Amino acid sequence: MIAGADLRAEGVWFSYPGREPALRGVDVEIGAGQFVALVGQNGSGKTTLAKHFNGLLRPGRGRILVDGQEIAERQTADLASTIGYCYQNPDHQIFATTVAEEIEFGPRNLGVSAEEVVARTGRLLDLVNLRDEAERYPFSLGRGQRQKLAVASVLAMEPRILIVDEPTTGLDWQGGAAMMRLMRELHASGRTIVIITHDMNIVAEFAERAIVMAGGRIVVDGTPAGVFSDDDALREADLRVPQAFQITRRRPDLFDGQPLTVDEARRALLSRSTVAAGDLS
Amino acid sequence: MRLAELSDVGFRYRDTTESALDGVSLTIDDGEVIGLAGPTGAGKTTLCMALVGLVPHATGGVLAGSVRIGGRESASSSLGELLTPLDADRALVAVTFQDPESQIVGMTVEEDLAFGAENLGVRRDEIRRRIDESLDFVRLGHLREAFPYALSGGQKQRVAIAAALVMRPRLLILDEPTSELDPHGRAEIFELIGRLASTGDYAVVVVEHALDDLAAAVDRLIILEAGRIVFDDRPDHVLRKVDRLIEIGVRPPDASVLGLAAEQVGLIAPTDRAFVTPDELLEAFPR
Amino acid sequence: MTQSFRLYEPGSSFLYRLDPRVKLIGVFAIFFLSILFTDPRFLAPVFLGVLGLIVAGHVPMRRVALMLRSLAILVAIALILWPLIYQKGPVITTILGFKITEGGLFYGGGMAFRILDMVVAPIALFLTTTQPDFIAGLRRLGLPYKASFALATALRFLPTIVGVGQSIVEAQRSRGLDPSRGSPLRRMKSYARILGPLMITSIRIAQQLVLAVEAKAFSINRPRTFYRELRFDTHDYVALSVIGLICCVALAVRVLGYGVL
Repeated sequence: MIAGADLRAEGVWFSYPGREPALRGVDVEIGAGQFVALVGQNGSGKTTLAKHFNGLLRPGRGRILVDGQEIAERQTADLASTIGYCYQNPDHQIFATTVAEEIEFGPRNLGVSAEEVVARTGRLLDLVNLRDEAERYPFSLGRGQRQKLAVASVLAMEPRILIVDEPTTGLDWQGGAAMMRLMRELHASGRTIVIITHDMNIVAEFAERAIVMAGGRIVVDGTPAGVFSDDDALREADLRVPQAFQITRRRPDLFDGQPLTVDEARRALLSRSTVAAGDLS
Repeated sequence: MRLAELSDVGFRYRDTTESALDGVSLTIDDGEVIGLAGPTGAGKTTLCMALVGLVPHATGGVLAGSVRIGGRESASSSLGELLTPLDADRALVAVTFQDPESQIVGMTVEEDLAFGAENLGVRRDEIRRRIDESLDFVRLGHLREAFPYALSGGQKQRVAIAAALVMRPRLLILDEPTSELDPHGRAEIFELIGRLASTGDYAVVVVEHALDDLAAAVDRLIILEAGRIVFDDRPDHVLRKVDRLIEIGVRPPDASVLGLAAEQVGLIAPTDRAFVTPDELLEAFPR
Repeated sequence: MTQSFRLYEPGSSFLYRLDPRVKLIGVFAIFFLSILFTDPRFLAPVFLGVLGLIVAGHVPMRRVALMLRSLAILVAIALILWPLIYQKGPVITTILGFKITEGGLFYGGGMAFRILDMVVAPIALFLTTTQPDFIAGLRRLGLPYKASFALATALRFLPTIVGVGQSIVEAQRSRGLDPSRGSPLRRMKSYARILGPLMITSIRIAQQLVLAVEAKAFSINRPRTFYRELRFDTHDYVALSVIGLICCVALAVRVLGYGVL
């Protein structure tokens, strides 16, 4: 178990130069080991807020605390071994000539010992299933693999907190599922995971907690089930609940409650007879 | 009119061993609204580009079989010949691409909209008229002088569609218009597709890798796997094959999956149609 | 975020309404005058004249001043360096063994104003002309279509590439690689690391762009329409005449031996 990492924003206001405020008084706390989805449309402030946590952006008003300490004095690059931020477009961070080199670069730059670098790289290659591709040129890989490489190279700094921007956008179903399985594994090993997403299916299936943003404010913050039932908040955020929930919430009698995911809903239906149910995935 | 006809088409990109397309046969007629889905690498984009002639003329590679666009054989015509309108300055086919940014050529929205029609040699006043109409149709009239970098992803895709419309294509192909967009952007695009479809003026092919919005928007659904067509039928027929779709790697709409399960346990009467939208399924449940 | 790429702001004075070809010719004329003379007493009025046009044309002086400010170093170098190198006429003073002469000072002043002239003219052009008009103007003045298309496309994608570069720097900082830190050598190596992803992304964009352009029938064998219409109006002919007159007078003056040191 990796202990005690948390993120806190206190009364944060932020505006991009010459524009309306992108964050309007945001207060939020994310405890160690949580799996949180930061949800909203483009322009809701979700990415802006996330970028505050590793110092890419600095609040106009208010404070940001990581692991209990204010980060106002600390540089992004120095925070990389506490909090890792993975960009939506993997191609923006890949620059090495082989997959292994890409992963090694961060820790080597940090002065980690040669043996430790090799060991870490090996573990990460296995984790993201790129062991066989270790000597390949990164841009010869498919998009999903490059995305996993990007995550691995951020993880090489061994951060306790991981923020991933749009893990599934641009990927097909299998690609997205593989990415989320990786997120789940990372969470299981004790890391705090924050994913920025607008995919409500992902939220339903993976997140313990969903923080929904609109217009620079948090409009609702709770479990996916709680959030999906808050019609007013969802309307304000202009988001739709997953199809499965659209169906189950109208007929809880048929589904034995209001399951959020299609797998749960299907199982609920099939258990109404003696036919055994198998899983969708 | 028969806009496109593919017969047993195979295609391999240069320096690759796998076929991007394998034994593909299909026809597209005036006014059809077609959805094309499949996992990454199934050949959706390759198929789109073959319909425009970019494959093989702009991409290189080996094309087998017959690709006829507007009656012209792709293999024996140059790209310029293929794209030459048959009549009245109406392009045969126009396409938009997945990446919103790199398909906008012009320095401003207006310049980009004019570009295709300029190339076709359409008269200046006609170009102006078409630009006015297209901007109106995609509801971006207020962004006429805007620079591309100032636009959101959804707006860029709408600009790309508007630019395609200015060419007045008979066949409009939208290659993954929503993959890089948020739900807002996606809703805007599908609303636009709905209006395009109801004009009856265009045949439309929309490519997606998710079926939730696509299946409800089209009359005909084609599913590709590893370069081959696996399904080519009405959406409510294709969506019954839930297990096969999952195997291929295309996620069926939740309504279709739950509808099938409901049928299996006798909650609803046996039927030969799948449920495409949540409302359809909710209607069918017993009170 | 990249608002600064928008040089042109809409306006309605005569400068904005002039045909871009006239403004381009005007800029070339200023270049011609700048090279024709070396005497600051002739070059300074050129600079002041352009500034006068800018003021009369209601172009926001603030933006002009901002851009001229970045020239300050170059101008200062000219004023300092030339008198040290070029000596002519009576000696004014001596600094560190270098003789500063009256002729040298004049020459330095002339070079300084030459720089200012050659920069303020294009500034006035870009502040009062939309990008598409600028490209159309070049094309109608004789630049081949393919070249003007290439230029227009480069201008179109410049903000995009800069945006990608910024993204890349941010992404690398998030991994502990900060290009703005360390010794100059280390910083250079850090910035070099941005080139890889930047090149790859740029090439990707270019590849996609080729397909998009071809799909829009770029290679078709038909005469091309040019949507952007440029037509001369009375005020354009008047402006051209004035420009022509000034150039002739300047040439005559020069031939008579004035304007050079």
